[in-house]
Amino acid sequence: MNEKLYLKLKNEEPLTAAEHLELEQALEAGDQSLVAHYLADQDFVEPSMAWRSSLNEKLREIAPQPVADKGSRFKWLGFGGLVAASAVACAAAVAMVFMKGGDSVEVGSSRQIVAESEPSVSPDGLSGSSDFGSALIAAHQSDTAQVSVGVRSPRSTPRMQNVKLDYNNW
Amino acid sequence: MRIRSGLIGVLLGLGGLSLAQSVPTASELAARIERAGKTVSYAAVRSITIRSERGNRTFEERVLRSGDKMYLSYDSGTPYADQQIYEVGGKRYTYTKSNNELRVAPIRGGGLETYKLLAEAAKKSAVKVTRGDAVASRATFFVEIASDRGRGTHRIWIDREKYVVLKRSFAVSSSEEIGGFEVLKIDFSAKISSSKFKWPAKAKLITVQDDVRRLAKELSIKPMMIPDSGKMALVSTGKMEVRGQNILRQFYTDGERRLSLFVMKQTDAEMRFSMRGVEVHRWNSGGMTLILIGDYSEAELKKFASRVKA
Repeated sequence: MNEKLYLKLKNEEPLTAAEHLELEQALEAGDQSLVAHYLADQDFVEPSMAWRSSLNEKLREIAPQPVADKGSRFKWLGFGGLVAASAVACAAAVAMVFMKGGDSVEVGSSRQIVAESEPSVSPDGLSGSSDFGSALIAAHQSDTAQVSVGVRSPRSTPRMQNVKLDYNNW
Repeated sequence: MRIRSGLIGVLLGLGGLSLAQSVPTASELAARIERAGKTVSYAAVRSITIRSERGNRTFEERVLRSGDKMYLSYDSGTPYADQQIYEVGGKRYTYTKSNNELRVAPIRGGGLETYKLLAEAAKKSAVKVTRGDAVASRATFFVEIASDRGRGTHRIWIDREKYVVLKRSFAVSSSEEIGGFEVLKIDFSAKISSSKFKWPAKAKLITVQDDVRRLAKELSIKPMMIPDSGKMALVSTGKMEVRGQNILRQFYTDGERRLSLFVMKQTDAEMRFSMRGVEVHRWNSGGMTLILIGDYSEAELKKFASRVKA
């Protein structure tokens, strides 16, 4: 492992893109020396669940709430009234169609607007261990998680923010 | 006649309103997810976080879905762009363009079988359904399923209109999440060509068992495996290194319970295991040390151990 990179990690200095890549490649190649050095030299503390929870709470507080969930009981009543009114209007339209002798009605399609969403917060942490038992348990947990949620784990990739859903080229 | 039609319309409208407001039961939700799963179509980008022995890993996938078929790919600017994944007919096919190899593995559990998990949980009354937070700007129902015997907690956010899973996580305790995904953007009006769900016809097919043999050779370890029998299947394999010791890892599941088999050259190294809800069995055979970890009883693990063959 590159000594300069190790020292930067130890001193918690920001990494360049090239150093990020080197770190990623070293970990991918199964280089445990960095982790071992790091854990040995640091009083390493994984971000606690309480910390993550408080961060999530803060984010939830400042995040814009979806319109559907903001509504009070009265808004729902208002919405209910609107829908009931729409239903009456629809019923009138249906009745008119029947009266006219059953002409076909063409239903227009509406396009879904895809909104940008904020990236989720997931603090990364080196929770690996040079201990056999912990490493095997972590590997079992990782596979369990993947099967449970129906995904497989490739390597980390940069976030794709502000991209268009140009799915024809996927 | 006019009055009757009008009344029917009003009743239908009010019925629709009450449906939109009420939270369905877990059984109703399971049935709606199953129905939607046969016809729903979308393009989406989702973020996935998995805890591994090297820390948390977060990556993004591009998803195309049409009914029970899924196609996953990765952005061209990422090191994983060489792979395309097809999920068809209960199997996952991973195609690697650079070597024209197609790896096939059974899918057990996971997203496409959410409705089965929900239906089973509903029978055991181990599920809670409420309104959830918005995911990808879409309203959701939130489902929490506490697995029996402390196997973990599933949390699932389901689109209220389309009945698609938009977010999902799995935790080994009530709060310790070890993996999950979240849809960041989704377009249900996407027009997706059926050709997207077909992999190259001349790709070389490789099974997980083939990969176990290849990795074992690479690591100079005996390719010891649990033979396929019935529902229990080998779904993935890989290698890892701990304290200079090469380890071949295999992961088996029947869709509900999970089992890891680790094979390494014989060692007397002390190993301490601490995880709620799993048992461990370790033994030596043919110059190898083997370890089974899974949510089975010790007696069941010993039975699996007796079936392991090279």
